[in-house]
Amino acid sequence: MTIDMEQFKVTYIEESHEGLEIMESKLLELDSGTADDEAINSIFRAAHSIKGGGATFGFSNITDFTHVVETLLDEIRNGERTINQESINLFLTSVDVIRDMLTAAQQGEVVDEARAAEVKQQLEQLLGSSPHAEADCVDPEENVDCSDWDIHFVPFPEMLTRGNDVVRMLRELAELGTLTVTADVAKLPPLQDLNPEECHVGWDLSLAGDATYDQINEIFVWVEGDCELVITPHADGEHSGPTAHVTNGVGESGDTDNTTLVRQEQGVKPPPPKVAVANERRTTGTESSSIRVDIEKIDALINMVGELVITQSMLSQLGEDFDMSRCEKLLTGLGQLERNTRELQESVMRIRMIPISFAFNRFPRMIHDMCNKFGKKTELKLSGESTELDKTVMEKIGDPLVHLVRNSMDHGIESPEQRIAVGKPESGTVHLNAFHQGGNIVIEITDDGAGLNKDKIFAKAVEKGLVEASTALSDEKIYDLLFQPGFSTAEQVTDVSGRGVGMDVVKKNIMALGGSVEVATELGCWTTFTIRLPLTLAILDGQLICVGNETYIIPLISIIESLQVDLKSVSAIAGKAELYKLRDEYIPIIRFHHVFGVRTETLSLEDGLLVVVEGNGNKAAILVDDLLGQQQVVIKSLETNFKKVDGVSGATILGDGTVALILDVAGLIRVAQSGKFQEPRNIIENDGVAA
Amino acid sequence: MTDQSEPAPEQTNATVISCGESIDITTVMTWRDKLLEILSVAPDVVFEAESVEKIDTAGLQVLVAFMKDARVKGLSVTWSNPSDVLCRAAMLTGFADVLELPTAV
Repeated sequence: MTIDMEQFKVTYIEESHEGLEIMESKLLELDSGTADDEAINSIFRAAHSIKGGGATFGFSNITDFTHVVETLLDEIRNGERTINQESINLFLTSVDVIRDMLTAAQQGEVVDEARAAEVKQQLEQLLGSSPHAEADCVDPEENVDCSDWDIHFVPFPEMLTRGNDVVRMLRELAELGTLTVTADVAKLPPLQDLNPEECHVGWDLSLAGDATYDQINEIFVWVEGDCELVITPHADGEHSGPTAHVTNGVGESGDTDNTTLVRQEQGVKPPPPKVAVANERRTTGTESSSIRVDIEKIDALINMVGELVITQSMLSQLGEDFDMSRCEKLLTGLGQLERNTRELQESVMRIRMIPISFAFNRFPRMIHDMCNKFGKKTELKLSGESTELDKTVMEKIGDPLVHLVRNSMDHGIESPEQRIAVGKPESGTVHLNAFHQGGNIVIEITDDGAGLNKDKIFAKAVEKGLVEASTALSDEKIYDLLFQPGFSTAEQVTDVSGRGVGMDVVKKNIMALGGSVEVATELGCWTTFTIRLPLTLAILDGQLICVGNETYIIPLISIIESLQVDLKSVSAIAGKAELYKLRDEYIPIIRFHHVFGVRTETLSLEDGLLVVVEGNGNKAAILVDDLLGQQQVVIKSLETNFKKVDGVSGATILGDGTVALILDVAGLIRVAQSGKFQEPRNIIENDGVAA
Repeated sequence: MTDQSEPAPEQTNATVISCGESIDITTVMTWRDKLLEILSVAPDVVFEAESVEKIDTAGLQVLVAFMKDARVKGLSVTWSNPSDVLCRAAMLTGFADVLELPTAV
């Protein structure tokens, strides 16, 4: 058996990132003055774990830096130091530095040492210690509680299998003073019955010297929950000399009994400080490689598999002795199998679902920083944080959300003076709300700021040449101009927003996820951006269409409507382009069989159906032979299994085992516009198009 | 870990066990099986331990269990040039006496 320390390192980094999130959120609680002592303790514990793990895995820069943070926090929690806005901001900056160090360690990159050194120096100044002080040395102030200690330590059997080693722990203890060790091997079974990977020994230790409780406890922090541990001040502080001796059972004669106690004092001087060796091994990228799953979801999955096995067994039995009289039973069994499969699929999909709080958690810090930057006062409200979303969607929605919130802070929320002048509370509100609606997740970003000025937006769009001054646009269309490339109404370009780069990307990214974004506003009062996203990217609701002998799938979200062709509404323009007049709009017709070179007998428009679709803001009417039905399909990557095909986003396997291509509507429109079609295969042109 | 069938130079009928460089949780299963085999044959044992560079709690524990059983069976167990790493680890954990290893390094 070999133990791959790399996996523990990955876990350490992931847990440290979570620890940093705790530190950040608790620091922000302190910021708003609502924290209690427990908040400081939580921050301290997180820093403590990060430091301890850093030392274990050889991340000496993380250990050194976090040590200073931890020392300051320790003084604060002991009441020796008060916390103020300056120190909160410094701790928040420290969180950023540690996060950068962890990311660098994770991805094998070089950390910004200058920044880390600068922040560390600030921390040390705050601490009042020398900037050149050794990070690993014991702070004399920590020795206030100096005493001799008795430690009762009984590892649980499985402790060793989790990468813990008592030898290492006792070595660290011995560095703190004179250690007397009594090993209790009474419960150690005979070799025949011993599982040697389990621990069956306990220790009673006495430590004489200057060690504090925290220093001792720190050594045992990684085995918390894996052992019985009692640390108590030593009753009389007496320690015998360094001579080793044996008591109770194991004598010089070599006889033993069932209650063997071995006692030994450490006359060994503490070895010289360990030299931290830089870890040269690169960790693999892990940002999206793992997921934490609620045990209930796993249990549900196991139950589903159990059901499936029962059904399979029942069908198997039926198959062994089948005759037509048992046909009804077979059909019932197959129905049960279908239900089991669907439930199993749903259970598996639920495993990928994580609460949107993972995406929301970054905003308290962001709002805090922006308030400081712009001198604004803003309260962040979060609701629906437990709403679940597919992990991949979650990762991809992060950046668009950040941009929209920054936008709300920069353009929406007014300065305290402006707000007071218009009779609003001094402090603004940004509200993030998430909820499920139908098969989608809806995320709303609402601010009670200045709202959008549609006249200003329209004027800017005219100035930028995005629309003609004479064009009549609905309010909705005017607000939609915000998502046009290069659009910005900000009077002053800031590093936060106002360059007109971003809102178009926001919409593009959301559309790429199969979602949509809308904006609603009331001038002077509020603005709400509403994002709708599919719950998962692995399954989509599709409309099955038929062209020739082939079946294709159009994502339902892209379809506006389907209609029978009224030839009077079709007009041909220069080249071979055809337009369909749908109410007030002219929509280009895409003859699907032309684009993909599919052999079909449905060549004239009146024989087929038009499916009106929208992709990337462009509409088109796709001519298809027939509509077959709607169903959820599991998306398989075409790129992985074949190659990338323009106009196709993936493939799926239908109930009858055939493969159907899933159309990428935006890509299909692009291909159709480019005129680069597949080779037609025996297509007979026979259109009755009104010219 | 290897054993030699030849008697140790100083001790006739003793099995010599070469401990190798590492006695840790990754090898303790093999160690246990090997030591059980030795117990069943019941010769005297000499551990050659000068090369031991790594030993952890699990490694020490399996040796302690062997020593206890060996004593019950009346076997003689001796160490040949135990390394500092082994002696220090045994001393730190309070196993030096039961393992009959030097208590000062």
